[in-house]
This record gives sequence, C-alpha cells and structure tokens, in this order.
Amino acid sequence: MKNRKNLLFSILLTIINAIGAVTALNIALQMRDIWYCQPVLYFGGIILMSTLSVLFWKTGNRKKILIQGLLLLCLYGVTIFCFRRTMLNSLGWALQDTILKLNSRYHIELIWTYIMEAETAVMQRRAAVSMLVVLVPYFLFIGYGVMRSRVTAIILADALWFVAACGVDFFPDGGAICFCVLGLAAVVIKKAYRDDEKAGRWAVLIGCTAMIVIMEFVSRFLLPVFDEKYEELLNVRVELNTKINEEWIPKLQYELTHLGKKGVDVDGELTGKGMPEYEDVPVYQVTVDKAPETAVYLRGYIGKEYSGNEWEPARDSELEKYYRAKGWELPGNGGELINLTFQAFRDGAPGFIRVEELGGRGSYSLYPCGAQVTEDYRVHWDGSVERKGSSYEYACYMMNDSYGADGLIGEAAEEEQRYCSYVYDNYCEYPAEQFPELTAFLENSGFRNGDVYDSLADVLSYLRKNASYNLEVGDTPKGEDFVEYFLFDSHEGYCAHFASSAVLMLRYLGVPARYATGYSVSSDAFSRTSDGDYTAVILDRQAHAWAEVYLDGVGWIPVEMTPGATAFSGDNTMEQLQFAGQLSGAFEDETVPKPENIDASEENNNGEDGEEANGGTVKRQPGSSSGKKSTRRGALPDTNASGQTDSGTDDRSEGNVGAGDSSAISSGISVQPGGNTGTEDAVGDSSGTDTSQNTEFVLQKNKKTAKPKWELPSGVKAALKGIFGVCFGFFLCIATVYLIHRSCYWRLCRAENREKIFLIYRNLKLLLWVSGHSDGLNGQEADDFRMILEKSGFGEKGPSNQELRRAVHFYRKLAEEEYGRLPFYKKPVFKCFNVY
Amino acid sequence: MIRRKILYILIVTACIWLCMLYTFQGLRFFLGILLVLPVVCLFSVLIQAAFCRVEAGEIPPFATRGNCVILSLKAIHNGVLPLASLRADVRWASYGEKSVRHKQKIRGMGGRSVKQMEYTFPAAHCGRSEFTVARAKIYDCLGLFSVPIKKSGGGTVMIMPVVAPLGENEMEMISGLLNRSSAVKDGDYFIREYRPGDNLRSIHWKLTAREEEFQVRDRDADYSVNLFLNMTDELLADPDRRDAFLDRACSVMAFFSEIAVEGYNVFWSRDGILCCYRIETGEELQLCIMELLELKKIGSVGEDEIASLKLGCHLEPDGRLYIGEQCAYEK
Repeated sequence: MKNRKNLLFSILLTIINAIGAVTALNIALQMRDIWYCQPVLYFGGIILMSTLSVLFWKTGNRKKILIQGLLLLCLYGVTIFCFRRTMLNSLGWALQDTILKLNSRYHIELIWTYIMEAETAVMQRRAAVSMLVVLVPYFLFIGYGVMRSRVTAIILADALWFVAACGVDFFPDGGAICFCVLGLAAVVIKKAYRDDEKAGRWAVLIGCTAMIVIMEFVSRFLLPVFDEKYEELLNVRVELNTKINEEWIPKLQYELTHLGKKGVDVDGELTGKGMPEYEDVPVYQVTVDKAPETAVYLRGYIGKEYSGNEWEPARDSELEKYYRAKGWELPGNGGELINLTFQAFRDGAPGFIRVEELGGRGSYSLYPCGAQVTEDYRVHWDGSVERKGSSYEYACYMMNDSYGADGLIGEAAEEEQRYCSYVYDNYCEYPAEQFPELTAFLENSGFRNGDVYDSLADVLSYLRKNASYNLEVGDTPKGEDFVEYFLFDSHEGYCAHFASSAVLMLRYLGVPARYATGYSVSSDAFSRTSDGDYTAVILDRQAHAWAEVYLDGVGWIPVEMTPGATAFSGDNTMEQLQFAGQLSGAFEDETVPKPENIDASEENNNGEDGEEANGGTVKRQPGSSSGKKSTRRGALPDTNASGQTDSGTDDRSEGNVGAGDSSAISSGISVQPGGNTGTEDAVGDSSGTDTSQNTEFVLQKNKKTAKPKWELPSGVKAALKGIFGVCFGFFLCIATVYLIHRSCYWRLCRAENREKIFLIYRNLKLLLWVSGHSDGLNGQEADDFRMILEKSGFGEKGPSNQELRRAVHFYRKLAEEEYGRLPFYKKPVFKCFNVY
Repeated sequence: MIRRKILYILIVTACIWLCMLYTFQGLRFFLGILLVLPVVCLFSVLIQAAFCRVEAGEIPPFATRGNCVILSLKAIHNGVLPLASLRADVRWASYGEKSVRHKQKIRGMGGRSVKQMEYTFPAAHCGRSEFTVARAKIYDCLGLFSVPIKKSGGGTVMIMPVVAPLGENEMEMISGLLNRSSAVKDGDYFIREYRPGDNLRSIHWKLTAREEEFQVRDRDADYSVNLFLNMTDELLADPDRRDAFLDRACSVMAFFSEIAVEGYNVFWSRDGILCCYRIETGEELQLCIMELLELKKIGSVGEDEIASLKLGCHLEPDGRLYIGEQCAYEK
C-alpha cells in the first residue's frame, strides 16, 4: 500500500515535471502549437511516457535496470528506424519556423525540408507522436530525477529547454514555467524529506500549494513592477550589457588566457631587467586607407616624469591646476588637445586608421600622431586615450602627408598657445641634482640649444656615436641610474634606454620632450587588402619606446632615437628628423628634400660651419610658412599667421643646419666617421629585402649583419664554456688515473716477487679501506695469502711464482667481490684505486 | 548548507544576468519566484522553530570500558506543518581525551511527531564521561536558512574498568592471606585456629571439641585485610596504563570481595594524602571503584602508614600484585 502510494506520488511528480519541461521545449522551439492543437494526444502521451519512465526506475536492482534499458534501447532504435521517414518529415515540418529563425538569427543556412504529406491536423498528430518518441530519453531522465530524488537531474532537464529558448530567442510563457517550477520544488521538497516519506508527501502537497500562491503573487503583483522597472532601466541595461560584453568579459578572458604573462600594454616601466620576453604573438591589427610612406607610431602610454624606475604619466589635475591658475578655460576634453595636431596637419581629406585588438585586451587605445580623437573616447590631458572596445578607428593625417601650410587658426590657435605654454612649463623639467654625471656632460657637450632641430640632431648624433643597440643588455646595477649607466658605463641598450636618454637630454636643452611607448609599424609591413586598404599585423615584439618633442603650433611629434630604428627595413630616423625640421621651421621648402646629415651637426659641434660643409644645398628660409617659431621658452607662442619669425631662428639655422643631397640620406650614415657606420650601412642594405614586422627581430638581424664577426649569444657562450670545462676536467681526471695505473703497473712489472707481494698487499689494504670492509679476511685463501705475506716479509726466501699467482688470484677475486658489493657511487673511486 | 546558499545566489545572479540579456517576461517571472521563495522559507522556518525542541534521552549511568555507549536524543516537533530537517550536535567528553562532536540530522518530520536520534560513542577510558547537546537547529526545505531551537538535557556516564579473573597463583596466595587472617569475632575477642606458639590458656576447649581442631581466643591481634593500590603520577598521566591498572585493581578487589567475608580495606595515595575505603558488600565495592575512578580523597589515614601498607598486600603500577614481599603476578 505504502509502495503504491509512493509510486503514484512519483508518477504525479514526473508528470508535472515532464509537462513543464516538454511543453516549455515545445514552445521554445515553436513546434506549431502541437501541445495546444493536439491536447489529448500530447498530454496523454506525456502521462504515458512519464508513467513508463517511473516504472522503469522503480526497481533498485541495477542488473534489472540494465536489461530493461537494453530492451528499451532496442525498441527505441527499431521504432526510430521503422518510422524514420515519417518522423523526420513531421518533425521537419514542426520545426520549420525554428529553423528559419535560427537561420536569420545566426546567419546560417540550415535546411530541413519536409513534404506536406497530409492535412495540418494529421501532420500535427504525427509531429506530436514523433516528438514524444524522440524525447523518450528525456522522459527517462526526468523519471530518474524524480525517483532517485536527484535535483540536479531535474535542473539539467529544465536547462535543456532553457538553453533552447535562449538560443532561439523565444521564451515560453508562464504556464510551462509554472509546471517546471512546481515540479522542481516538489523534487527538492521530496529530497528534503527523504527520511520520512509520509511527511514528505504532505510537505510536497503543502509546498506545491505554497508555490502556487507564490507564483500567483509574483505574477499579479511583482511582475508588473518588474516589467515597469525593466523598461525604465533600458539605458542602464544597455550600458551594463555593453560594459559586460565589451569590457568585463574580454578583460576576464584576457586575464584568464594571460595568467602570468605580460599583457599587450607597453608602459613606462624601466626596471632595468632587460628586455621582456615576447612570444611573437599578434597583438593588434592596423588598417589604413593608403600605404604609409614612413613607419607608423601608435602611441599608447605617455610618460612625463622620470623616477629612475619608470616614466610616470602626468596627472590630470596638473593641467587643470595650471589652467585654473592662469585663469584659462579648460578644453572640452583631452581629445581637443590631441586634435590640434590633426588640425595642424590638415590638408585635404583625411584618411583613416583602424586598430583592432588581436592579442587580448589592452588598457588604452593606440593612436598615431595626427589622428583625430572624437568625443567617444575618454582622453586624459596628457594625451593617453582609454580603451574603447576591441576595435576603433580614427580620421588621420599620416606623418608623410603634406601638412597644412597655414597652421592653426582661430580658436584652435589660441588653444594651442595655451597648451604650448603649459607644455613649456611642465615638459622641460630637468632635475639636475638627480643626474650629476649627465648634467656635467651636457654642460660641456656643446649641444646646441637654440632650435629644436639642432638639439635633436645633436642628441641623435651623440647617441648614435656613443651607444649601441643591444637587446640583451643586462640589468642596471643597483644604485645606478638607468639613463646614466646606459650613457656613461654600458653604452648599450634598447629603445627604452635611447628614448629615456633623449628625453632628458632634450629637456636639458630646453626642448619640451616626453617619453612615449606603444607599437611601431614599418611601412613595409602593410599589405594591400581586397578592399583597397592597407593592413598590418602587429606582433608583441613590436612594442617600442620613443621620444616625442613638442613643436610649436603642431603638437607632439615622435622622434626615433634608437639607432638602426626598430620596425623598419630602412632607417627612418633621418626622415623623421627632416620632418621635425620642416615642422619646426628649420626648413621651409618641403618640396626640396632636406637630408639633415648628422655628420654636419657633428662638424658643427667641432666648430665647423655646417653650411660650408654641405655646400649650402639646403635652402633654409628665414621664416617657416606655418609662422611658428622654433623655440618658445616659457612664453606663449607667437601664432602670427603672417609668417613672422624671430631672428634667432635664422641665426641658428644659418649656422647649424647642414644638409646633403637625397642620396646622402639613404647612405647618410655611411659617411659617419666610426660609430655605427656599419650598422647603418646594413640597415640601408637590407631595405626592401627584409619585410619582417618584428621590430626586435629586425634589430637583431640588423645588428647581426652589421657585425661581420660572428658571435654566439652570451648564454650559449657560457653554456659552451661550462661544457668545455666539465669535459676538460673529466678528461684530466681520466688521464691522471690512467697515468697512475700505468706507473703502478710498470712498478709491479719491474719489482721482484717479494716486493710484488708487498705492493699487492698494500693496494689490497687500500681497496678494503675504500670499500669500507671492516671485517677481517676469512677463509682458506685469506689464510694462504697471509702465510705468503708473512713468508714474504720475514722468510729468508721470497715467495715462489706459484705463490705469487695464488696471491694475485686472491687479490683479484677479493677485488671483484668487493666491487660487486659496492654502491654505484663508490664504484668509480674503487676502480681508480684498483691499480692492478 | 553553504554550498546551497552559494548555488542559490549563483542561480539568482545568472537569472539577473539573463534578464539583462533577454527581454523575456518568463525570465523575470522566474526571477520573481527566486526572490520570493527565500523569504517564504525564512518565514516558515522561523515559525516552526517555536514548536521544536530537542531533549536528551535516558542516559545509562555505567558502561564498561571497551564497549560502546549509545545515547539518544529526542526531537520533538509540536507544529502542524511538516519540518524539513533538524540537526542536533552533541558533545562527548571522555576522560583523558578531547571532547568530540557528533552531528546527526533528521530529514523530514511530520507535524506533531517525535523522533529519536541515537549517537554511539566508544567508551575508551575509565572515568567520568560527559554528554551534552551542543547545538540544535532546524532548516527550511531549500536548506538556505537555519534557526536554532531549544535544547535540554545531558549527563554523565561512568566508564567502569573491565574485571577479569585472576591467575591461579594469585588466587591461591590471596586465599592463603585471607585464611591466615580469618578469625571469627566472639564478643571481645577473635576466635581462630591454633598456631604454634599460642598460649595454651587461650585454647577454646569447647569449640576445639566441636570443631575437632584447636581453636584459640585472640584478644589483641588485628585481622583486617588491607589492599594498597600504588598509583603514581606517571601512571595517571598515561590513560592506557591507567586503564590497565584500574582493570587489574578492580579484578583484585572483586576477588577480595568474593572471599573476604569480613571485608577488607583498600588504600590509595593521591597528592600526598592516603585515602582508604572499607569494603564489605558488593555495593561498597562498586562505590569504591567509582571513587577510585574519580580519585576522591577520603578517609585520610596518614602518610607514615604508607610504608607499612606497602609491606602488606599491594598492587604496583605495572600491575604486579604483592602479598608481603612475595610477588603473586602471573602473566
């Protein structure tokens, strides 16, 4: 009776769960309202299937269940096989709407054709039966969950329709959900009361009643409130959705996939721990509308203050305070300051540059010099742009574009004046007490400080002559300054060293400069796409650091200070310098190539006249067309659009700017006396052949080709040295042992019988000591040996040959026995001492 | 419990998350149920807590060492609605050991019902063991909330030593000792068998004629039998050795009780005080053992007598029984 009650109770629960889950699935898949049109067949089938599944799980005997399962499987297979055509056709008909929806939603092309074999009612009946047959395992699963009180099984069964609903984007209504919730609650309660089945039945009854009340309450009172709030929170929802999908999840994904790895961000850290480890993985893809003629510098991190360990960014409050103190109005956002350069470059229609993240989530958006940053971006006053999704695009004038001849006008010019003032007051800071050695050097260096171009040329020239590029530079010793150690001790470094040094030196010379990191892409790296754009994939190794100088009326311009450049098959330093010269007003006629030969500046440093040295090939006009003064120290820049320049510019440029012809640019470095001549030749030679985008690889390659003498890496060298040392030591040991053995052997050969016995005895004693043999020698042979020894020691006659053989035999036998007993680590020692 | 809470929170979070993704009303309906359900559960469990209590059942006063002690708790539910689950934790503090906590749960109780929970503890060491109801609480059917309920009861169980038969040699020697000192009190004097050296005047001729053996009157001699239990601090510090000693002492005392008609005295020393207990009946033996287990300081005699007691019948810490200077130990 009790069992029967339990069975009926379980059947009831299974039916509730099955009705909920199957109906919800039916609704989610929009199976032409089978449940609604064929209620008798549909619900009757569910009740039948549920009852059968409960009966299936009724027994607790596993063997019985297995046999039943096999029988059911056979029956299931046969049924499916026999009625496959009808079932497929009817289900295909029932699921047609779902398929169409899936196709439109996921842009796929699922095809499941059907033939309308009969009337709609018949098709519905067939579909209902087919669905019930196909869902036999599902019923069994639900039955298992109810009979064994497995809440997880019921949750999983409900999860099926839930996933289907979310996938198809069609959620069932309240009725099916009510059944599911009721069924789930019933199983949960049944499980909670498993020690008292009677109480459990009552509890389920009461619990289900309570659930109905709860659902009614939710449906009547809570849901309308929810719906109302849901509509109100539309914006929040969208925002949160965007944030979650575009920020949190990618960030989480990135963190998970990059656990313990360095991220794609390049910051201002100067830990002196050598180069970070790169894996040559793609991190960004950059697309432009026209092929860049020079390298593209994608700025990410901007450092203002040098702390010894890193370049720290400028705080937003600094500019705000400065502006407030001056009584100026703050720009709308940081993007306006960046856009000054875009406006200064303005000439014709701008192109575009699109950056896409490939290697994971960065914390900032990369942008090139000359990009236009819209209001959508969150920009700091120092020019760093916060991340805006995994893909972003800017309108942009490339550095090789011709830039606006008229410069900034109107409000932009005024804005630039204010910002320029801020820059000169904040980006020329040079803490002399922090760099005593560097300061002393710069005081006596003779570097020109009147013009941006001259200063750049001097600094670049100095760095090229006195420091070489080395990726495997060791750690900066403790107590040493990163820059000073590089400049005056190691003379080796990578981009961070060169850029940091350049920034400090330029600041000393009065040129506003800052440290920037990001990625540099060679112009060769861009390849044409089918759309007519040009795209390049950036590898993590292309992370780079460079210096940026502020040019009046233009903005921050990158200047490459690392010799041999980085991402380029050809060195673009000279072009950059020329570009800076043009922008700063050092050259006026941009149509004429101005090969700013560094040698010329060196000659100037030595007191020679650059103009004379270069034959005055550069036509330097006394005023730049943009009307910008080259240097402005602490005063608002003169934005006189009429092109007036101060006389100082003329004076400086007349004497300082040397120039050669265009051929001298490409091979310009080759005429340098000493220094990195070879390197630059190699760079020049490799142009057009090396299309690698890998910055550091290119550098290494350049470095390798630059030095004809082939050198092994220091690590390999050290390893080889170690191996060689060990081998040599081993060989020495073997030779020594061999020599000892030979000498002992010859001594034995030369000795008489009496001495031979003595030698054998002595060695035997030694061997026994080595082997740790503490027991005395026992046995007939040992006694015999002792006798021979005694005779040899005290007898008038020495031992006979036969006795000697016996002694040798005893020695050998004992030595072998001892050797066999020894542990492996003692055996080589024993062998060394066993000289006979 | 904590897993269920976390799981529930995760389900609610997932539901909120999905609500952000999809505009399905069914999801919001489901979320509403998920939010209301815990409130209902909490409310129901709070009400039910007022109708539930846990009481300790009958506690056996004694148990023999090595056996198991079975203790029971009664869970009483006076409410009308069924109760999902009730958990009761009890603490068992055995002599010389750290207290252990046992948990037991009843899953499902009907309205107005009583259920019993049984806890089994090993009687590991001799001595007083304490049993207390540490915690009792009820849960809702989802297992999300728990509310403590009233609890009462507890008690002590005396774990007694195991009494084993003595060896033949020991029994013989103890019998000899008791026979030697056996004497019948007759008025102001004792009557005993004749021993060589007794004064002829002291012979009780009438009795001798009746018994057919010489019986003499002894007025001055002390015929009481003493058993000294030499318990040292080292012995008491080691629970296993202490148990073995107590087993042995009780076995000897039980044998003494069987054959010493006139009774005997048991002595032990504790903290420099000599304690004694006179045993004449079985009840007195049981009381003596209990006091011995608790090492009560009773009937102080004086330290100077310890030495003389050690010359008589005494049990050494290693379990050896001495009758005078003769060891009666038999493995």
